[in-house]
Amino acid sequence: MLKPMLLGIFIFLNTLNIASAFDESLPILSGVGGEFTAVDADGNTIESTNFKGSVIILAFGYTNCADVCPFTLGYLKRLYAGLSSDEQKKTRIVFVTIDPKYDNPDHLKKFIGHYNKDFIGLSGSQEQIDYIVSLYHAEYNSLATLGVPTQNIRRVNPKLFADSQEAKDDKATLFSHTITLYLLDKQGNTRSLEYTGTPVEQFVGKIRALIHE
Amino acid sequence: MKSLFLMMLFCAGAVCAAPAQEVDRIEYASSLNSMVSVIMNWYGSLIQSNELISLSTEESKWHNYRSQYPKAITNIEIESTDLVKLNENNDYQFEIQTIIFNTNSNGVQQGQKFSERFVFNVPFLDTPTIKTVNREQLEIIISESNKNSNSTYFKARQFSYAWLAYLDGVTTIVDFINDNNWLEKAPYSLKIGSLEVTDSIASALLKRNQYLAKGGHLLRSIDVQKNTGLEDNLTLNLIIEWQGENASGKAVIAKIHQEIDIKILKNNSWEVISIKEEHLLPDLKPWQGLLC
Repeated sequence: MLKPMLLGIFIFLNTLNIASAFDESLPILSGVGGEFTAVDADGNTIESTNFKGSVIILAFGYTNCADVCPFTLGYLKRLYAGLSSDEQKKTRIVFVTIDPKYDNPDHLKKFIGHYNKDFIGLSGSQEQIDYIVSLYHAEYNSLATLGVPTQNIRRVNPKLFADSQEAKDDKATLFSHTITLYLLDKQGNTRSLEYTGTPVEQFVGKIRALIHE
Repeated sequence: MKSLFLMMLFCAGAVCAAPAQEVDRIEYASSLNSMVSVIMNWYGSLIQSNELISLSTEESKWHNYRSQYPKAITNIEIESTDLVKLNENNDYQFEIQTIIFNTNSNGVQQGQKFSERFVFNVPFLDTPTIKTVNREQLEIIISESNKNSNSTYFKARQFSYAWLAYLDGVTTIVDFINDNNWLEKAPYSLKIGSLEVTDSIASALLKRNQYLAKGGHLLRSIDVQKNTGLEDNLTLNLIIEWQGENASGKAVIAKIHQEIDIKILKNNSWEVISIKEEHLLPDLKPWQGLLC
């Protein structure tokens, strides 16, 4: 239900010709982003400065998201495929969970790996995640106070359970969250805000421009 | 003749157009901010008659002209403005439509509509001088103002535009805003992404300059709050747009929120107590606030 609505909104917004000269010159967006610490999909502490030297596309989401996250990751998969193998080596797709309580590194690894093994999933403490969210002026809100059984959540990559009791016990919170894709240059500066309505070729062009800076 | 045409909305503090080149942008923003500060002081001091025309070096020159305004002014509403750059000598023409409200000799509240044309000379990164000013009365309206455009309204804008001109590099304007030498005393908290510092204004601006080196500040909105419990204190919340280059020469845009706490001194001048600045998400895309 939500997905067709979102698609409708994206198509509508895409019809608005809002591209400005800023889009072409990719200015630094002052105060959007910064240095942070998180936990990678192998459980290792990682500093955002480790990504310096690569162009980054950073997204927020969570593994129990049944609507926009699979759609976004599908889009990022196509975006990544639009780059040459050399360009892929210079680009990192980073997915930051907004649900670190549920999305431990293992969950994230399985979820992200379904789309592309090169994609990087970041988790961490609630405090670390909230700090990253605040750095990017992103938002998320809990939609359900009661845990929703994850077996009821429609998934692109179905979750497997050992038995019916485990399936019953595995519960999650649903969230709404920012849909923005943040394009970061090799120094970690945010240079553009994109979303899944951005034509892939246009987004690839911006990534290439930053790779060659 | 090179000219700039601008429509300004004073109530929101909004300016619609801005030039693309860095030098033009600095000149545009600094000239605009310093001229608007003078205009705000000009009108504000008509309401609060004990204030001097602080930014004009030749204030006595306009004494006769200003004495011809209506008496007992309670409110001044600025309806529209046009700004045109007249020549390469940095002469600008500001046309301003106002409604000036006062109580007439019969005790009736009335508004008089005026059109005024100020011609300024604004040397680059220097304080402006009014060269000429002409007034034309258009009509009289028997009504009361329904806007709160009182002396505080103008004083807040006079200060804010002068402060932005100072940030743009018009250092000479410091004499008109630095009451009680607050520029040496007030703390400046700066939050730009993961950079968070609280320092003296001079030191904080030095750090800020790495991020926002060359460019211009355009005021997008201003909110004035009286602090409960502290009658002599005000808080100004400014939303500012900045475009320019960082210290490495890279293009930068910023949406800046400044919260400025001010103490009103006995002589009606303002001393800044503290400044907090945070860089927000610039308004670039209609969907950027969308949550799914």
